[in-house]
Amino acid sequence: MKKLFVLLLTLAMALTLVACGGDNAASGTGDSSGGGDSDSGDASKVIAVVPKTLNNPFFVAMVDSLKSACESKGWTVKVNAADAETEVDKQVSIVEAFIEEGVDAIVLGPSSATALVDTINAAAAKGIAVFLIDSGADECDYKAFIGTDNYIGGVTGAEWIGENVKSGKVAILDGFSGNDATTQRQKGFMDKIAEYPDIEVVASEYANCEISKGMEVTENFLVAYPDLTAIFAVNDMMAIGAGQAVEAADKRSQITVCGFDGQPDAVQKLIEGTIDATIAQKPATMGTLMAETIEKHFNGGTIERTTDTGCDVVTIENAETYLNWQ
Amino acid sequence: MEKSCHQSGFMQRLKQVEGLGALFPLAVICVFLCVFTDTFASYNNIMQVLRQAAVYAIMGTGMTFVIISGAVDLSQGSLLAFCCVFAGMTINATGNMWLGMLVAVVIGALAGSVNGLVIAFIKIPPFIMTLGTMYIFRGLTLWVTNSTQIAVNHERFKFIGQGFLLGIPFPVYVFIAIGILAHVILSKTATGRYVYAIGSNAETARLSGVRIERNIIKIYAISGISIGLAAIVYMSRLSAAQPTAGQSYEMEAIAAAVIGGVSMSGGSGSVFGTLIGAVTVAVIRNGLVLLGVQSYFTQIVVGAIIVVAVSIDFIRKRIAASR
Repeated sequence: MKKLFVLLLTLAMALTLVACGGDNAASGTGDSSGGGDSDSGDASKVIAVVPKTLNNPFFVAMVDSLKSACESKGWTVKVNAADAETEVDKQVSIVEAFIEEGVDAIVLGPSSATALVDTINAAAAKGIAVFLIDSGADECDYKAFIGTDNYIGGVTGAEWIGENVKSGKVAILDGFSGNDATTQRQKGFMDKIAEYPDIEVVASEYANCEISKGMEVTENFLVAYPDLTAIFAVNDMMAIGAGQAVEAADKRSQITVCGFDGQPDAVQKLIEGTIDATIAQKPATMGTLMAETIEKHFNGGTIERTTDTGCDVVTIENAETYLNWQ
Repeated sequence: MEKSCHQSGFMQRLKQVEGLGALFPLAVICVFLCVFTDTFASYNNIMQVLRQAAVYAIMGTGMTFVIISGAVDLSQGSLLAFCCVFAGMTINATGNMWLGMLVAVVIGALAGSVNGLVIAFIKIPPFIMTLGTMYIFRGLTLWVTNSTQIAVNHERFKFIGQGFLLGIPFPVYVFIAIGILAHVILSKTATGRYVYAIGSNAETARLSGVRIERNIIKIYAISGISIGLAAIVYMSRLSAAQPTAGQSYEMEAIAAAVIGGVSMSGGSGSVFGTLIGAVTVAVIRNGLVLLGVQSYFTQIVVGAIIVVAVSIDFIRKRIAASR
């Protein structure tokens, strides 16, 4: 009896799936082939957007800008992301689902430069154009990368710290391993800061791009290096955490804090005095430029493989402008 | 008395089926997705979902043993990264993927045994011990790798996580095989019976002559071995071993077990239920992407399914008990 019930239930499920699948086979081949490029211009294109996470206002701004630019071209946009930048296998699963759905293009911000390579190649093999935004990946079959040249961003940060802090000890709040964007910034910073002999880098620690971790790690820095003069964080979330930790320890006048991203919250904190500077990226520009690039690609035009959207130094002087994402 | 035996014979059996009650929510969700999306029911997509469920199914299998014994293993996620990292380093250093896989399983077994030894002899509550090792394993992983991810370059190794065998993704064979093995251990061996006994009432089990300490060590070693196996599949899917991998994945394993009908108070449950639970969660995640729903909903829906699935099970059991 028990076995009969199980058998019936399994049969029922199998029948339902076959019935659905059968309908699909007849009418749905267009959907699953994914070859949107060869459709007539009338068919609405579907663009899948997979940022690292939506828990960071930077990515939200980037996605919003991309979404409105794409929708104004008459395309459908689907957005999905894992809950944290470190959940790489969940991002892989999301991209796989979109590949299965046969979208026309995927805009991806890889959580890991190496782990997404096979998935990107798989998408390309099915005729789906993959575009990378904000963070890069190891060499594979993607059509274009649009984002800040993060290495130059790190160099810019080092220049600002060098010119404004002049001498002393600096600690770095890094992102996490495999995150191409933050790794490049750290590298750029380390390479450039070597040109300022009076400045010594005493520590570089991962704080997972999170505000709470940034605060925690900074508290440890303050204990380990009581004469610290500067902190450079490779993203604003961590910079805000760092600034708050420094304020709580009453060392605000002693330590200069510089972040990265140009997040309006961080700019607000800049105006309030919790941090001193940030290197602003242009996520809104990345979004609009990406939409243009995708359109060019669909129309068969040639596109730039790598585009640097640039970054600006934001300090109290020009902070007002950056209260909105650029 | 006779009358109620007759008319509820079939229903009695139905209510006692362990773990297969989880098929009901899964069937409902699948039908829903069939109707509301174009691509869920395609062969490729279903195979993909099964592949994606594999890591959680394998972790869940180990977790099932622990939960049936009345405990929980919070260190699973950290141990996943720990095993990945050592296996990855071994494969890169020796070029031998079998050695790497052996390392993953052995490290898992050893780490699990550490949990088991302390819980069995020093008798710290499992929740606390595994909470401690959750941090310790994570810290060790970050230390050993200097927080740097390890790219694993081995073409044939990729097959385990990414390949197909006879049209079905290889990880599916892996998790089903592990599931069958685990089910056999739980239902047909003495060790399995002891696991249920300890979960039902540890004192009674001890008084009945069950060697509690030895079996507790076995339970956590099994959990650790399942993590080692899950690590193999995880790593070969991504061709990388990340020290930050698996954060909160023990929750996914618990969710899979719970949706599958394993009772958190111990003493009942089956591995097949857990496998179904893991597939259910993977189906939900996949379905929500295909429905074009905002990703915030994924967590809400998974949580809701846990509550609904467990509620159905509780109500079912209460009705059965009151008869």
